[in-house]
Order: sequence, then C-alpha cells, then structure tokens
Amino acid sequence: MLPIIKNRKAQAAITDALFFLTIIVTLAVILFKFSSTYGDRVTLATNNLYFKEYSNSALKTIFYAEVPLDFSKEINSSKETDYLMTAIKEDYFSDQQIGSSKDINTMVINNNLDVSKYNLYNLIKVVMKPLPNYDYMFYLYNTNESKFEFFTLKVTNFDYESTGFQHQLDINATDSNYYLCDPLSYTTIRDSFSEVSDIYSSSIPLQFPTNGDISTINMTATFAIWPASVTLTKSEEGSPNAISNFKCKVYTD
Amino acid sequence: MIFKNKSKGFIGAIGDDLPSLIPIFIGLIIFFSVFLSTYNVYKDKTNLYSLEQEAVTISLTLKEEPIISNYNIFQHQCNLVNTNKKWTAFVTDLDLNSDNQKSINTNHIEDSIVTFEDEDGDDKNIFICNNLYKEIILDSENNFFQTQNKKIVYLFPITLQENTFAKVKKLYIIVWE
Repeated sequence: MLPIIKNRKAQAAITDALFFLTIIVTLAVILFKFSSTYGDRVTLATNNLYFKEYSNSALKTIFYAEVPLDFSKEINSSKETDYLMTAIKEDYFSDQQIGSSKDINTMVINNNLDVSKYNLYNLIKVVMKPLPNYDYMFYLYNTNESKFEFFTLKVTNFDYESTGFQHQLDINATDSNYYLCDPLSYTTIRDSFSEVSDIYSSSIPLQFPTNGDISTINMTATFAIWPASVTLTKSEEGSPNAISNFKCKVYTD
Repeated sequence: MIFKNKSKGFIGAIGDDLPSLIPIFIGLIIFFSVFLSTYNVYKDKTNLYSLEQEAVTISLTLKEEPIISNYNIFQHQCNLVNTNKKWTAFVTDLDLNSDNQKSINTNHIEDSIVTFEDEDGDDKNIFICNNLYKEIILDSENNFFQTQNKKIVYLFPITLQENTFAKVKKLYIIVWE
C-alpha cells in the first residue's frame, strides 16, 4: 500500500494546487465583477442630482431672466426689455392666450403679438444649448381648465443604417428639431414618455391674472430633460409617433 | 530495480512538490494582480464620487439665490462654501442667440469670465470664486485645464443682474484633487 501512496504523492500535490488555483480564479472573477460594477448606483445618483439641479436652474433662469421685447436676441441694444415671465403674464392677461393665435403650436416670427411667445421658446433653447446631447420639453399647463397654454419640445433626429447583420441597425444622431406642440391631454404625454428613461424634471406652480371671468388662472410650469433617444421619433408600423400625437410644428430661426 | 520501484514518482522532498508550485504561483499572481487592480478602481471611483458630490454641494450653495444681484452677493455666496477640496467657480456669458454660443477658451480663461467694473471704474471685479486658486485658473502659461489632475466640471444656467439687465449666464464649477 505504501509504495502506491508514494507513487501518487506528486499527483495529489498538483491536484491540491489545481483546487487552490480554481478557488483563486473564482475569487478573482468575483473581485473583477465587483470592480466593474462598483459605483454604478452612485454614478446614477450623482447624475440624477446634477441633471435635476440643471433643470431646476434652467427653470429659475426662465423666470428671472430679462429678454428684449423684439425679435433681435440682443438685449443691450433693444429699446425695451422685461422679465420673461412678466411679459408672458402680460400677454396672457388680455385674451387668455400666449401669442397671437388660439393654436398654441402656431407662432409667427416677426409678428409683434408673438414676441413673448418667441422669447420663451428662444430662452429655453438658449439655456439648453450647453447640453446638446439632451432633449427637453417645457410646458405651461392651465390647471383650472385642464389644457396646455404653451408647449415646446426639442427632439434629436437619428439616422438608421443597416449594419449588414439581421435586425441590427447603426444609429447616428444627425440634427435637432425644435417644436411647438398642442397635445390633447396629459395622458398623451404620459403614454409617450413612459418608454423614455432617465427623465429629470422640475415643476413650479404659477398664478396668471386675467381680465376674464376667472381673475386668476393657476398654471404649472414644467421643464423636463432626458438623454436624446429614438423613443419619441420611432413609431410602430401604421401608428403615429409622439411628434404626431402631440400635434407638433417644427420651427427654425 | 528495488531502488527504482521505491522512487517511482518520488524526486525528493522539494522536487516532488515542484509541479504543484507552478499553479500555486500562478494563482497567487492572478489573485494579487486582480486584488490590486480592484483596489485601484475602488480608490479612483471613490475619489471621483466624492469630487462629484462636492461639486453638487458647492453648486447648491452658489445657486441658493435665484438671481445673483451683484458682485458682492456672488462673493458672499462663494465665502459660504465649506469644503476641503480644491475648487473654483466662475461666470461666463450665455448669448441669447444660440448660434453665437461658444465654448470657453481654456488657454485664456480670463477672456471668457464675466467682469464688472465698480462704480468708480477703478477696479475690475472678475466673477470668479476662491482667491486661493484663482491665480492657477487664470495663469494662461500653465494651462490648468490640460494638467493631469482629475477634475469635475459642472455648468449651470443662472441669472446675473448686470447693470440694468438681468442676463442669462453660465456658472462653471470646477473641483479637483
């Protein structure tokens, strides 16, 4: 019996070593997995905090910034300026609408009745320019009558190219479109945005004085940003996409 | 022959274990290299998160007021920041015509920062926080933005009262190790 044990002594030692190696490799894999995923939640939390704060700042800026009361975009040489929200409230006071048209997705550039509407549209575009990879929407919602009074949306366009493999597409961002929209209800918005991930939004209640039957209209201003994605522009075969659902019109200036 | 039978598979006390030492050494090398790399990743990421969190905290302090009404208010907010990290913050223009917007010139950062002359017109007040590191940022010869230190740069839109207008500006917050 003793010679057999002696004969196999070296083999047993290497088996032990291989077991040891297996344990080490398992540990290494666990450590590697830990290092690759460590902090994912913290990154997400920090990003949440930053982009949430950005949307808060953007909303505050929209309320406190002054704008020229013309279409020049040049505040220093403008004859008249005003705080943007004051200009919007003044515009709303007389006819309970922002701009010249009842259709909230209509704006005529260079029509003086649309100055405040244009400035609101433009200022939002300006404050979001430093984040070109993010899309946004801003709306004023009349909570008394449950309707939108202003709705603007920026959506990045994407180009689809086939990679040659089945069901695989190469998606590249091309340019962006800026819209004014007239969605029917909150439900339309909620349905369309249910698939968009990582939305950071900020809301604030406002009161708009009017000369109509109701002396004060309660509004909610909401600003939301999200990483540009194909979700809003894609559509199932035969059904309209979000842009069509929101009755959006594209504007360029 | 007897000697041969007895020594079959036996090279000697150390020689017998030699083949098993190879996987043991390989295992130890794998373990320590992965452990070291994991430790480095952990340390780097932890530092980065602490910088990011500090940047957000600083931004909350600086943007406490919805509008920065003058230079003194800005400096007052800067003085309220309490952190042990190296940091600075400055204000740059944000053009109302989005086509004219441009990035800051990191070689001559002073050109991008909003300046404000006091009432006498004697002193030029630069909207930059933290005198301790101001010179480092403004030194155009030693380009701060191209050094190897890990930096977190956050920017936010803000409103700044400039002369008679409340203008849209950008607030940059930089935190580094």
